[in-house]
Amino acid sequence: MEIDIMRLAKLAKLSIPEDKVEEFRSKMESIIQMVENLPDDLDTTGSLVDPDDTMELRKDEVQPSFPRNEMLRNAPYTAAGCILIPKVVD
Amino acid sequence: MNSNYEIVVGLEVHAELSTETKIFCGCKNEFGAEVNTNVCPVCMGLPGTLPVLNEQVVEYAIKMGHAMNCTINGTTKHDRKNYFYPDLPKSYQISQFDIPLCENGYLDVLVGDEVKRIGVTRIHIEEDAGKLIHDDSLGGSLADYNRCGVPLIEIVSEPDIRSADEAKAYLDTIHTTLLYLGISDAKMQEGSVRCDVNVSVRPVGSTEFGTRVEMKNVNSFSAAHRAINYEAARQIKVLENGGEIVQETRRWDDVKGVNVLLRSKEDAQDYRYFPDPDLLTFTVSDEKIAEIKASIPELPVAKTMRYMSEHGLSRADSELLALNKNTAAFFEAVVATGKCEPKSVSNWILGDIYKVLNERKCEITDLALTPANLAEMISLIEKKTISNAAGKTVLEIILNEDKDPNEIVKEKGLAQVSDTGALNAIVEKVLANNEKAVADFKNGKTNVVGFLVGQCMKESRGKGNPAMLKDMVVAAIEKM
Ligand SMILES: [Zn+2]
Repeated sequence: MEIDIMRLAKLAKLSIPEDKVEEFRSKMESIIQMVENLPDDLDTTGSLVDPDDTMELRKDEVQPSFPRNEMLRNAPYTAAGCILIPKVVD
Repeated sequence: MNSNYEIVVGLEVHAELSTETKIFCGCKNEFGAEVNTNVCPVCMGLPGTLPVLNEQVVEYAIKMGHAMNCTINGTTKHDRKNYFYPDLPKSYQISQFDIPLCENGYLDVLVGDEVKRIGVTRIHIEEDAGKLIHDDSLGGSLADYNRCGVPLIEIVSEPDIRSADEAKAYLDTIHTTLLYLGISDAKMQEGSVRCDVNVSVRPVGSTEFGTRVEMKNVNSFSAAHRAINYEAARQIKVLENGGEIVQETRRWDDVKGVNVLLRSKEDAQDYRYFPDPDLLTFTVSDEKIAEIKASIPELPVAKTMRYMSEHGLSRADSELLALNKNTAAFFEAVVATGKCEPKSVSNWILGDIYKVLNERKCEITDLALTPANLAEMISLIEKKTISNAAGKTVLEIILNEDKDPNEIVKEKGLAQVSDTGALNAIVEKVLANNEKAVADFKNGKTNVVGFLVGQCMKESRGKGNPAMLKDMVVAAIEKM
């Protein structure tokens, strides 16, 4: 199995130094090998819906939200009631 | 536009649903709240939280599915769409991949006088992302997550659209349909409806599609119209110069009226969809699906067509009436009284009443006007009990209070005089006082009859029946 580690790194927003590419590639390969070796009794050819195991839906009723200052405590930087993040342009 | 080419457009429309709460948590779904006040660990994507699907979202999406003639998948699931962007705290959006809630539908839209059927590939439910506020003074961007988890439906069309006008008609129809169903505020200016536009061109007669280009940042339906024409012209120019269209995403700049490259195919996102392990399969029973279908009202395009065929109204008038749910219901209630001609009802609503609605910036349901009173007023004109001018006076009153037009006519003495004896006296008096005009008429200047009838109307203080007066004036002069 050919693994394009640079593409995976890009998708995962990771920067991998040139001299580590081979190491990551072989580690990734063994992870994939492990997954491929999992027993084959799980049928994944279908669409993975299971009508015998369904979830209950929620009524459309408002629950109190969390206090903003509590929520923002999780963020490294905040300003004006918002989470401050590095500038993004797209 | 170069007529050797045909434009092919496909649209992806996102509409926010107007539920009380978000799709996977009980936070309020509300526009314009103070930043980051409608948030909780679920919609901010904190570890260890579990989303729970809002049943109203499913119901609203199925409504739209029925309105767009889709097959409803009663057994479906959610999938994760993975990408990194700071407006998405989980780094994935909960969406639907291979089993959308609704699929294989179509929407009939009116383009000019033609009905055009546009295929609807799918409608799925997903969560909205937050909003980023760019602030140079802070050297960064501010993230407001109130919109995170607001329920969305994404409506994907087939590449069946062949012009900017067709695209506009399709978008307008989706807009009015959302409002008719009462499932979205559909406010473009608040971003509750957004669209991505896919454009390609091909030589006329070709059956293969050209390479398509996706355009982002199309923020209004009129912008979609401009963006499509711009992009089609750009592609045709490239082809005419011997170039090739490359698959890419471009960003529409509506102010400058141009688009610029956002990312090329090589940089295309790979969303790595997979079933969301936090959510199980969900089912909607056939009975429930049928029940929702039964609740769908007659929709604007069907109404427009019916007004044209049933009442003989013009396409433009029918559409104007049908466009607004309240106006349409009012029109139909007046017509249902059977007291007056649908055409007159349409004229009064789209004329004098529309003017008032525009001035007061309100809906027809905000007025004191009742369908019964309007029907009565119009029938008084049609029975020639009052003149058109007197009708306007009555309307001014019944717009603001629920009062029987017959009573107003009595109180204000607005009834037309159609009594020949009384009118004859007026005609004789006017002719006697206007010898010059009478002489002019005899000398062939027959247009003075308008002046003479005007004098008679004045003499009758506006109550004379003008048609009768005209006949009587002409007859009297000829007898002289
Ligand atoms: Zn929440």
